[in-house]
Amino acid sequence: MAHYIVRRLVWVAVVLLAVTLIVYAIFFLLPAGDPAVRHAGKIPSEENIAEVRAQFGLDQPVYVQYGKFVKNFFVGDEYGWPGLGFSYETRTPVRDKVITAAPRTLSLIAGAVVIWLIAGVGIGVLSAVKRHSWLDRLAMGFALFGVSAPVFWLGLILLYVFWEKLGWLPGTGYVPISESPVDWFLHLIMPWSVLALAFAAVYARMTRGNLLETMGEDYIRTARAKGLSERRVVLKHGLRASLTPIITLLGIDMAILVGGAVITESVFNIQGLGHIALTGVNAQDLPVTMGVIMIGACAVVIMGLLADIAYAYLDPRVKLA
Amino acid sequence: MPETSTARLLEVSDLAVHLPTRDGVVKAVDGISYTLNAGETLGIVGESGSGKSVSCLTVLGLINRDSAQISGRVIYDGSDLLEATESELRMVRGNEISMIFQDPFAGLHPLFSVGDQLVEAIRAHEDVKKRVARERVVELLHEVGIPQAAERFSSYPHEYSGGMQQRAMIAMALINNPRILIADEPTTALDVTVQAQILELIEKIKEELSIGVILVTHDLGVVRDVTQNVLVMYAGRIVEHGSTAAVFAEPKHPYTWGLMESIPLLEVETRDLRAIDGAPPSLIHLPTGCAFHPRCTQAFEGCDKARPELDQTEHHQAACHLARTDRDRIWQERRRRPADASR
Ligand SMILES: Nc1ncnc2c1ncn2[C@@H]1O[C@H](COP(=O)(O)OP(=O)(O)OP(=O)(O)O)[C@@H](O)[C@H]1O
Ligand SMILES: [Mg+2]
Repeated sequence: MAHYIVRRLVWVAVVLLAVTLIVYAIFFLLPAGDPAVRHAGKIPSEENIAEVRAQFGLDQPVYVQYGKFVKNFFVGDEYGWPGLGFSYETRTPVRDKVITAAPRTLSLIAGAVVIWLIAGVGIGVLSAVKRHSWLDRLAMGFALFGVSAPVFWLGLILLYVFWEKLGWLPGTGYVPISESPVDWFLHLIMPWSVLALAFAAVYARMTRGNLLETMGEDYIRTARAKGLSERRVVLKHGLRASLTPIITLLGIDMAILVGGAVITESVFNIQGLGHIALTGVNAQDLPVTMGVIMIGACAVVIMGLLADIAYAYLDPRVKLA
Repeated sequence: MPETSTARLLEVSDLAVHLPTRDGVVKAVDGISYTLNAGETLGIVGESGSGKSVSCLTVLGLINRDSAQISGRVIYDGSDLLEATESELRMVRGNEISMIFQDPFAGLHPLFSVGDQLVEAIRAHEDVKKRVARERVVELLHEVGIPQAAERFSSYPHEYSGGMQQRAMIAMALINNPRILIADEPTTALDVTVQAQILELIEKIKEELSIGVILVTHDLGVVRDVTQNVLVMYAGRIVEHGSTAAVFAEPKHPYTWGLMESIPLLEVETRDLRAIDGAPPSLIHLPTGCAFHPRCTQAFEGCDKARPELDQTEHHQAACHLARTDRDRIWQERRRRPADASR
């Protein structure tokens, strides 16, 4: 087991390295304008530009810049670990930006996961048990709506109804949980719901499909032949076998949202990691973009590792080797 | 009245199970009747698809009652299981009537330990502490021949061999001291050597506990060795029914003859083994008259008209249009002659 984890962590490092290479390549190979020119003021002189270029380290060869980035990321720089460099746009350490934004994004993801798991699995089980009933059709109609409703549209509708019209919920923005747990919660209800909807829909369909397949297995017949109640047959024997693949997928879905909840974060002005990434890209602010990409990539590979470990834990037939 | 070893445990009459499918109604079971006594092993044989499993599953209400059309009666303990509510059936399942299946690996839940699955079977019917249940499970696992039962308790099904899996299934079926054990091809998925051990175990249990056993099998040799009575099924119906000794001494139905000639049995001294020509019929569009007539070597005019009923004798019945005397004569000739000569 320890062996396996060490090997996987080495692999994690390799993947992260590959990510940095690709992003660097894109940034330097695609003609997008010189960042030094862009960030040297309104009407920069040659000297200004040269100065900014030196400040950003852009006067050095690309491979030196790249080497420095990789080294800083793994061992840290003058602002701490992981070293993510210095924003061209705001001239502040990227690490500070990430540290401010991360709790926002994590709050968003955590709440959404709770909602989509409960709603998705619950709806999936109900429609599998009541297959072909009106309940099933309603649930699957909801699922279709959930995957196809555009997040920004849904977000704006919710804001209009619950904030503007009814005044039941506060509007956009984010309040740290340390400041006021209640406000934190109230501000996040709508973003959570919007973000969770599409996932709930996908998880409902998946739970339904897995459970229907599982219910045809011989061991379900055995469970019934033992004299268990149908409720126990479904919720213990059926669901237990259906949930294993869902739980492992959950890790990856959460990881992708670390840098990927861009639209929800923008609509509700949460200013999380996805939002930073977006502004970073727009401003050709390579260090910021790289920083968020690296954090997102770390999340994906680490959650992938955790998902595999969880899988081995949940299914005794799986051996990690 | 005290229960004697010949107490009637189960009485099935005119059981029919019709399963609607997209292509039409599958007449999986089409009017079968039999009784099972305590201490008796009743064999059910027949080709694949003849309705053996469906008839057994129906006894325990394990065929979806909403979609299947089920008629007849299954009298257990004075009441009709076909009329029982789901919660009444639940009390019977695994407690009074247990069932084991063909593929023990598929029948055990892969994600729970074998021991936990047995503990659950106890606690489905009895309010006992987990620890107490665990002790009983270990003891029974030991009795059915699982080595190091205490350590094996927490193993998962995939860590058991096929024979051990089936032993565990048998233990699960017996854990609440049922009165009837239905074994649906319990050895088909196992090695030949293991097959014999499992059958011996079932025999031993039947003797010790004086339960009734229904043994579904393809193997006439097994039927001869361990059953007292036998049902031969074809296309959802019983074509021959009698004491095992009588059926083996003088089989009365051409289908049974075919079965006997298709396997190596000492009594039948045909030189070559022959499979029965043709394939079992579609259960949606059954042949008219006797369902076996298209494959029957003895079919004559009239076999495709009326459906033969079981003849009304007490201990040994067959459903065939041939006159009884003709059947006896034909069988005597057939068993003496080399296989190809009788074609
Ligand atoms: N749930 C079902 N829906 C529709 N048809 C079914 C269903 N279960 C079984 N059947 C059909 O009913 C018939 C009888 O099946 P059954 O499983 O009882 O046969 P069997 O005698 O046990 O065969 P085998 O020796 O292969 O186990 C088959 O034609 C089968 O295809
Ligand atoms: Mg069968």
